[in-house]
Amino acid sequence: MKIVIVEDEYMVAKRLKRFVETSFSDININIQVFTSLHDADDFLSGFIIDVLFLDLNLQGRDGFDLLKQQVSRHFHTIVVSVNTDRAIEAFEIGVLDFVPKPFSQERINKAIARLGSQQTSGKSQFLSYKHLGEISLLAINEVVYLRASGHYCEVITREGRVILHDKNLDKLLQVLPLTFERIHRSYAVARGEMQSIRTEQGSKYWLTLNSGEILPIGRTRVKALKAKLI
Amino acid sequence: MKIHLIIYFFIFYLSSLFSAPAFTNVTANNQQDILPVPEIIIVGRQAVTPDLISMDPYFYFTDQDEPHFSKPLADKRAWTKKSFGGLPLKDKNLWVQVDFTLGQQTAKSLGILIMMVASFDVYWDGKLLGSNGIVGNSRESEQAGQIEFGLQLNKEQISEGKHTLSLKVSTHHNNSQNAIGSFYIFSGYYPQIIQHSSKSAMLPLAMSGALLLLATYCLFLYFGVIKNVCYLLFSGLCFATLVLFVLESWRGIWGYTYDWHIPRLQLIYLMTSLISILLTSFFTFFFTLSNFQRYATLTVNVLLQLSIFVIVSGYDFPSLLLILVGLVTSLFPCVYAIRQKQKNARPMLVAIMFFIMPLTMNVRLYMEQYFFISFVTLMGVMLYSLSQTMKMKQRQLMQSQINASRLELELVKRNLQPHFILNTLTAVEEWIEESPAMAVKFIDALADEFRLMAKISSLSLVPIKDEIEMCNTHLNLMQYRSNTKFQLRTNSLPYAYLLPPGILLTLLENALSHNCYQSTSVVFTLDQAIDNKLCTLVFTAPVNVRQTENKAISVGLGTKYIEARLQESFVDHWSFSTEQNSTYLQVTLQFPLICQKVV
Repeated sequence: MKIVIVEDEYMVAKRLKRFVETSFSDININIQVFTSLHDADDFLSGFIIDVLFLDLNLQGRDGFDLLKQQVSRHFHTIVVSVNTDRAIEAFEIGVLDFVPKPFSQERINKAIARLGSQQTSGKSQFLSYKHLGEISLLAINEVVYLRASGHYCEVITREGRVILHDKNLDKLLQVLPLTFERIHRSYAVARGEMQSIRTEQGSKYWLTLNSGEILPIGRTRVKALKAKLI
Repeated sequence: MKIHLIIYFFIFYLSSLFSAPAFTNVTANNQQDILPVPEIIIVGRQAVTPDLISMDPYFYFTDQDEPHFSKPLADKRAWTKKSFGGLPLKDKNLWVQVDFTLGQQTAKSLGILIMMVASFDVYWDGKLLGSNGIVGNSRESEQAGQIEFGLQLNKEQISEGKHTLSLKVSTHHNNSQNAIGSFYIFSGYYPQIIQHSSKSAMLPLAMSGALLLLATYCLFLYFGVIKNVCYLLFSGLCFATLVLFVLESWRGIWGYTYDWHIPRLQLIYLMTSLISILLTSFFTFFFTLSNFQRYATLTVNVLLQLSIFVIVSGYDFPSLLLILVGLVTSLFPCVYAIRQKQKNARPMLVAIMFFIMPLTMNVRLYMEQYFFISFVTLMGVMLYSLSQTMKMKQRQLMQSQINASRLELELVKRNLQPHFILNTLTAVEEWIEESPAMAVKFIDALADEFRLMAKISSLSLVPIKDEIEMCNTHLNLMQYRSNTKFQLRTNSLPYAYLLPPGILLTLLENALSHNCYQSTSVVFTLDQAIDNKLCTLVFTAPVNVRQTENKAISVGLGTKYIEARLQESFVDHWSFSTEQNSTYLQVTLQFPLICQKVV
């Protein structure tokens, strides 16, 4: 597990690092601590990491712009901040968790538990993504389905646009609301977009969407999907 | 604020009550010593028809003394003929005769009012009517008579035809250097004649009440509320005008013996001179002028007054000139203020012009009809402008008080901001778990900072020593939190000067929050220099962040705080500049030297 901590307060960083280490005591982890996002940037773009613990002053606009940038990237972002009044907004743009300062070991454990869990925070309203070098927001209810694409994920919208997101399908589903159903190793669909399931010979299953598009359903998932839909 | 307007309208109310005809009396009374006054003055508002009683426009006098001079003399060729207005003052006693022509009389009683700087016996057609004082041959034997002496003529004495008034006059109590003393005779209905003087004194007296109120009010304002010299000058102006009014109306209300006439005129002259200089002073201090301009204007006023004193003899006419000098020299500050676009300059100029303009048309008419109303208008405008400035000053005062408390709040708030306090608490938690002894040290350092903050935040100026101590306390705190050694190096000065609180602290906080000091030791320097009553502080902080990232350094919120504080304490007499390159940030502050009071 590769973890990056960005925190300018020496003592706070020390404490956070200690708690994270304690939390992962049974797993081999690698923690990098930076005092500013700027300093961490080179590292973040050069290495694949799993999670970023980010201390941001979210009081101004700058803080949120920086946060959107991180959220659009391949790793999960957990915000550790004093600005608890901005927590809901942070969740809306897709952070995995928001840890208010001062924090306890238990709270850090809880945040880390989310990393491995299928349980999503489910509070996202928007998907932050990078488009032509700029950070844009896409309303979640515009998303029809997600398609895995290597280390990335394609987001297909109602308008038929295809947005390439830096997070993989698994990570993206962790921040998206529970209304997204995994139907295949490579596909997840918004429940409201599903129309019917068609069975073919040789145990092949197909999902027809409201738009008329047809997607494959994984053999192992069809039962659970049927149960949820009926 | 309202009371100003009330007084202002009160004055106008008064001036409208005593409209132009009333002024005639007053000014005629004031001016009788100098201006060519009409020979027969008809008293009161209802004119007495000339054929009822008419008086020769001249009188005869002689310094011979014969008992029959009390009787009408047919042949006055040996006597000197003279127009009314002035009576020659001689060591010898005089006889004066005036002839009257009376028409068909109604039942109303007629009377004569004699205004003369002399003691005299009055004879009507040879019969003694009365005595004003005791006529004597020397200062010792003469007893001074009243300046105004009224006589009623009974029915037998006002038969149709010619009558002669004889006066036996002695003037030994006269203390004037002039060879001529004032002399007028008024004739008409007796009740009107004797009321004439007191009536003409009514307006000045009524004005006196308002002036006293104003003068006292402005004086209280000056000593109690607003230390603005304009209020003192305006109060002085009101007081001086009040005294002038009382002096002017003294004659009509209370009367006095004629030996007091000259001292009274001298006092009036003196008060007029004072009013003139106060008028000019008010304008020079009301507007924003340089001290040189102020004293130059006042010097011109004084020089003009002196030359009038030397050149023009008499009392009343030079008094008018003195007022004019005051007004004309007041024009300079007004015109200057208008060019400078200062507030209230235009109405003031208009008021002064309103005062002066009629004078250029007709001096007589001016004195009779415009003097009072102009003066009242001028005072009204002056008062209004003063109240306007007071309003503005009070608003500024309130604004600065609000500003001061806002700045105090801003300073205190920094230690209460969630970013500071929650990060601090997180750090404390870490120490409690890791090293309780350190936690205690840290909490002590925090307590030091809070204590100092409470001490300095409410002050508008603090000794530099306290500010540096505050900085060191803060650095100590940050040292614990960041695991970096911070140091503030200062040179020591023999002066214990003052500066607004939190200025250096803000510079330090700015530097700390915009840089990531990760080296083991960071040194800030503060260079203090005092030269020519000016403090120059140079604060230097190392920079370790790329230029592009810390664009906010020079325009941060902290900078606004510093500028607001400097402005509050030093109003435009300060400078604040920032210079930055890739290795250091240098801030230069300049402000006037204010030394700490030695207790």
